[in-house]
Amino acid sequence: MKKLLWFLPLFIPLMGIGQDSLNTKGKSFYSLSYTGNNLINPGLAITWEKSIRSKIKSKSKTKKKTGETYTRLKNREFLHELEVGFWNQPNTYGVAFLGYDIAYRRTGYLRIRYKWALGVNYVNTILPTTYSAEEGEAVKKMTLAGRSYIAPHFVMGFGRMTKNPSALLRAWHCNIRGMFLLNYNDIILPMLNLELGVTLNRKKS
Amino acid sequence: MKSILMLCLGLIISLSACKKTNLAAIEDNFVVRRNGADLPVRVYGNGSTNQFILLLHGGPGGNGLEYRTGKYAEILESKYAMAYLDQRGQGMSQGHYEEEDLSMASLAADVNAVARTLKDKYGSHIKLYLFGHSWGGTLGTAVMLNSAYAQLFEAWIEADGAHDWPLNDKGAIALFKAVGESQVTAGNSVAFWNEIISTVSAMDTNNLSSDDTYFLNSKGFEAKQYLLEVDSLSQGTESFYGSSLYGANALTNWWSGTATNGKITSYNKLDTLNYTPRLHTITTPTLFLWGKYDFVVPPIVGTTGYDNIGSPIKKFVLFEKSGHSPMNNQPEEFAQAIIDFIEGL
Repeated sequence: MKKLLWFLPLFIPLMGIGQDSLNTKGKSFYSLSYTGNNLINPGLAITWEKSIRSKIKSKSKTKKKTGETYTRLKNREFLHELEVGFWNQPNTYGVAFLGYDIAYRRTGYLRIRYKWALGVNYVNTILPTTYSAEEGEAVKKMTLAGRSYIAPHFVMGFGRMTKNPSALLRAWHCNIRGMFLLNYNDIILPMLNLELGVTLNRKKS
Repeated sequence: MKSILMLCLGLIISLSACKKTNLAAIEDNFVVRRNGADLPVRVYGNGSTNQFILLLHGGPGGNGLEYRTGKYAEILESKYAMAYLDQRGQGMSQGHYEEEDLSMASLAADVNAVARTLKDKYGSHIKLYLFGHSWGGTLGTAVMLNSAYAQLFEAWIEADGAHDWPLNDKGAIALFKAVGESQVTAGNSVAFWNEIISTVSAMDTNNLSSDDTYFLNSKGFEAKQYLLEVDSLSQGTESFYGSSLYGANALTNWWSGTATNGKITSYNKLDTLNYTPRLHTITTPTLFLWGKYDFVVPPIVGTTGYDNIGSPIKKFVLFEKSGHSPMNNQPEEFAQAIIDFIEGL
């Protein structure tokens, strides 16, 4: 039952959104997300997004009780996204990542958003105290040792815009990011990140 | 921006790792880099006596910290420092390398690198003991067969180790027949044991197929459950994999370990790997620990190892109420056997 409560906000009826606030073409926003690598290893990510194509559809509606008419809007958009973040795996290693993707996002009449994205990450692991022990050489302590990987990724997610998308808090989201670390050992390693976060307007209006 | 972030993260992680080492209660976490691989080593326990046990996990595909569970680890850590290693391509080890770097020689060189690092970190005066379970027994034997590597260790402890893979299946068939007949006579799970006896009796021990091997392995784990029911096996501590979630990222560990298992098995042709003819060259004091009801690596592998090893100091201990993992079935007795052996050297 408690789990269901999380989904309640999705079903709260909403009032119309101003077309200006929905039209994001050329605008950029920042998101801040908790990143749970493989669901549990905690981390943080900052995403910059910019809409490159936005198509808004409107629909006139009449309230039954009052007869008042209002407009509902929905938006289809393509975005550039750049993200930077990190996560830490207790007892093992930390990870910093930098990524780019192209996303398609649909915002429906009820301000609910769905997103799909494809892109690539640069992943760098940061190891604890590391010793180099190559054969024929003395054991040496290394500083800031780590490994870098290229990781194609996909993102699928949903979220919702706030009632006043022009305010500082524009939307919240929940994404699943699947990354595939190439040449990890001698295999491709999949990772599944859970991202929970908010999108912020740069200027509160 | 990225370099600043990397620097901050590195600083945080380095600072968190910079704990003052208390030798009586070591809690260390470091990485050994060799030939393209970064191998995590976690050291826990009492290092005040300067005695360190380097543990080689099973699999291939396991991880070091899954062995840090239960009573036996608690007892051993109270006496010695235990170093839990994630082998190349397994657990949380990472890096960039080729498949040929998963050869037995390369994996043994990794263990040597870790041993050298332990001596460099804690002092060359520390005494190192190598302890391998199951697949760790295969790898540990490969280490001991290299005299340059073996000289770093005071003793070799093999628990249910697969140093002779062809003998595993033959021994398992014989054990299934013997245990099956005694269980049928006692009236325990008669249908199950009769099916086993008839299937293994029909197997050609000189020409076992991969299906036969799969049958023997899977029935070995089923048999364990039936033996637990009739108290032939001690329940002990069954939470062998309990700490995996804390110690290693479960998805990474499983994916990496499963892939590496296949690669190590095929590259090294493990199904035909037999170190028995070379065991006479090992002169390091050796302790063999075996579960009486181990259908995965049956006791005959241990007794054959004991008979063939060249060590002047050697001991074989059979745990009467144990299967493939006596450290779980009889943890106190298992830990005591190791302590007695080490203290007797």
